Amino acid sequence: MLTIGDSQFSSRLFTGTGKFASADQMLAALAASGSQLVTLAMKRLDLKAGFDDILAPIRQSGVKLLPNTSGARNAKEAIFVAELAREVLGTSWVKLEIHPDPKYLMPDPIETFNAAKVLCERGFTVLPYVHADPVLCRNLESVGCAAVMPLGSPIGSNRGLETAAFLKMIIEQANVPVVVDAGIGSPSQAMAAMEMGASAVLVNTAIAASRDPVKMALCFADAVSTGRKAYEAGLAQVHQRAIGTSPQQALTAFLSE
Amino acid sequence: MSFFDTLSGLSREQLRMALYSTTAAQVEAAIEGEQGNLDHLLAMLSPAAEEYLEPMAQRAAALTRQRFGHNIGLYLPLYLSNLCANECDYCGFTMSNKLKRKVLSHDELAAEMAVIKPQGFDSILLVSGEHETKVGIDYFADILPLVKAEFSHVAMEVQPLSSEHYGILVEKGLDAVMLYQETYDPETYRRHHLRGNKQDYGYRLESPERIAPAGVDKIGLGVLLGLDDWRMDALLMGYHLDYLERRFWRSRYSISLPRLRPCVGGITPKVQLTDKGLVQLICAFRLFNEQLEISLSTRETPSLRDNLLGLGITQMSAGSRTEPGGYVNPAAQLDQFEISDERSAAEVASVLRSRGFTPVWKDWEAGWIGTN
Amino acid sequence: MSEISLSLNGQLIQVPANASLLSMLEDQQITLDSVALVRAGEVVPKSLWALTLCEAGDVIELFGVVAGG
Repeated sequence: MLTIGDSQFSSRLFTGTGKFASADQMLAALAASGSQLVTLAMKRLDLKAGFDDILAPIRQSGVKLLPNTSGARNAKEAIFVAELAREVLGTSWVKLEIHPDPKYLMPDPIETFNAAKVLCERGFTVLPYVHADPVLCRNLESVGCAAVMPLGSPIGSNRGLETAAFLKMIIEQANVPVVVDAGIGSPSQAMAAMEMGASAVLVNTAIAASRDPVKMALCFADAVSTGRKAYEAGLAQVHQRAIGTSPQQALTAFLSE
Repeated sequence: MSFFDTLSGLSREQLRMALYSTTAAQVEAAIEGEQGNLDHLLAMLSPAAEEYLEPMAQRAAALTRQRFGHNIGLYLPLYLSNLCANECDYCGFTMSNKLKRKVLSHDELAAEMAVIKPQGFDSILLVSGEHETKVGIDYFADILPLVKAEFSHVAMEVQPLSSEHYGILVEKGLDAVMLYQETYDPETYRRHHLRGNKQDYGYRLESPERIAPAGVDKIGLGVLLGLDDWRMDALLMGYHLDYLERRFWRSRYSISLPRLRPCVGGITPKVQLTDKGLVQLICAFRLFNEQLEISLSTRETPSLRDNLLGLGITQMSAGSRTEPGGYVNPAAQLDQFEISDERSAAEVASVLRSRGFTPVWKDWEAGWIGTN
Repeated sequence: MSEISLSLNGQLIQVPANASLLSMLEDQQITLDSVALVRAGEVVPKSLWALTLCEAGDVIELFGVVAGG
């Protein structure tokens, strides 16, 4: 079981709700994924156009909701969005994401840190989306974030674990769960993140943009579960060279003198 | 959760059984395995790993050179006082030992530094017995600026202090604190610490958790090898190191591996650590943690010290005196422990060079702003 | 009964002078359990909607939930 804050999850696949062709398809894919934590975004209502109420059916499915702060370009806006989400959804959980850069949607580390500090003080359960920066993750942990969500590659890029070397450091050092978020494009990439020791992965585009999102959601569920089991079983080592017990006694010869 | 709680949650019996039932395959996996894995450390400290000393040494030497280059840091201990309010049966300063007790005055301190400084040292370790009332925070705060004026890196090896007092000393220029648990076994600890504040095992154990938040740059751990089963003590020191590095990641860490030496009125080791065992310890810790600093004192003989140099050692003392006033008056007899390597700093530096190492006389100088 | 006008998500609307925020939302047929209401830049908690009267010239914004990753 994965524990984040006060909640436990038996599925380590978290899913986003964006980019699906229809609400029905999204709900079917979420169900197939087995995910117990799904992200949502906040938006100013367009009263003329009306809006789909996706909330009621997602709530009915019983999953935990993780509102995000997407659209926020600085700490002030993100804090405001988190407060809105708490008001609407009655949850103090928030995926903190701040990207001032519209091209690559890279998260702003300084604003994210500042917002995380305030939100933790206000009692939010904060899961910040950040670049795979080990020191930033440690600092976020020290101000009270419940987990960290470093990126594998740019949002929606499907390029996989381009930050692998840094994700490993974060996983090695973290005292809170590490959720690899963004850029995971295929089940094998999700599995690789889990084998590495990630606590969970968050997948959206790779499921939503596939030809058959329901089938793809099932594949991700399998991959995440298998990757986790492999991590728990302990991967056998890649050997760079053979170890002999009695090669040339160069360095320890003095012991037998 | 403090390390005291973490340690209480470990099953020593299970760890001991794992240590003594480690297989060759587990040792091989550990040597090749990733850094920072406590199960791997256990395997490399096991009796089974004795067959793998050469491959461990090869890897340890390579990792050390990669991380630290061919540098060996040199420092000296400067004994401030031999007053002690503890009764510890392994130590020459123990309070019931009849010896002339003294605390260095400003003038005596200046005289000691005047002997040390011309040898080239810019890194100093201030040592004292544990006497809270006569050699406590007031004395330390008083003399630290005098020492800092002469040495860019100042470490202390004294009694454990409060958070507030560590904070005061950091402001006065303290860079490092060495605080050795001696043994992680509470029962053995109790048997060897018979009177005084040092009897408080828990307060000592949790000291690094007060030292690190005060902004101390380097924290030294150590066990007195021989008091208890050194494999277990070393393993638990590994757990301590892991705990501290995870939480207090802004500090550097070092370990010392002192073997129990004869001293006036002292005891003989319960578990003898051989030279081979010492090599195993150094290599196991290097393979466990490539950034760990490992320091070697003059307790060891010249030939052994020279042979250990390349394996993982990063710091050593040379030309040490282990009593207050010993640099000005080297004839004195009542050392804290017996010194085996009597060579001068210049001799040791020349041996280092001849073996392809660069003697480095200073440690990190944190002098960008402020403290000068 | 007199009416006042206020701005709701950028549209000017007319409401009775003694209307509460709650009755205003009901008149506009807003799904109450899925929106947050911001008045003059401050979130007004749901528990206060029935107790808070609309005022002439109020600038009110409604936010809701949409799909997102």
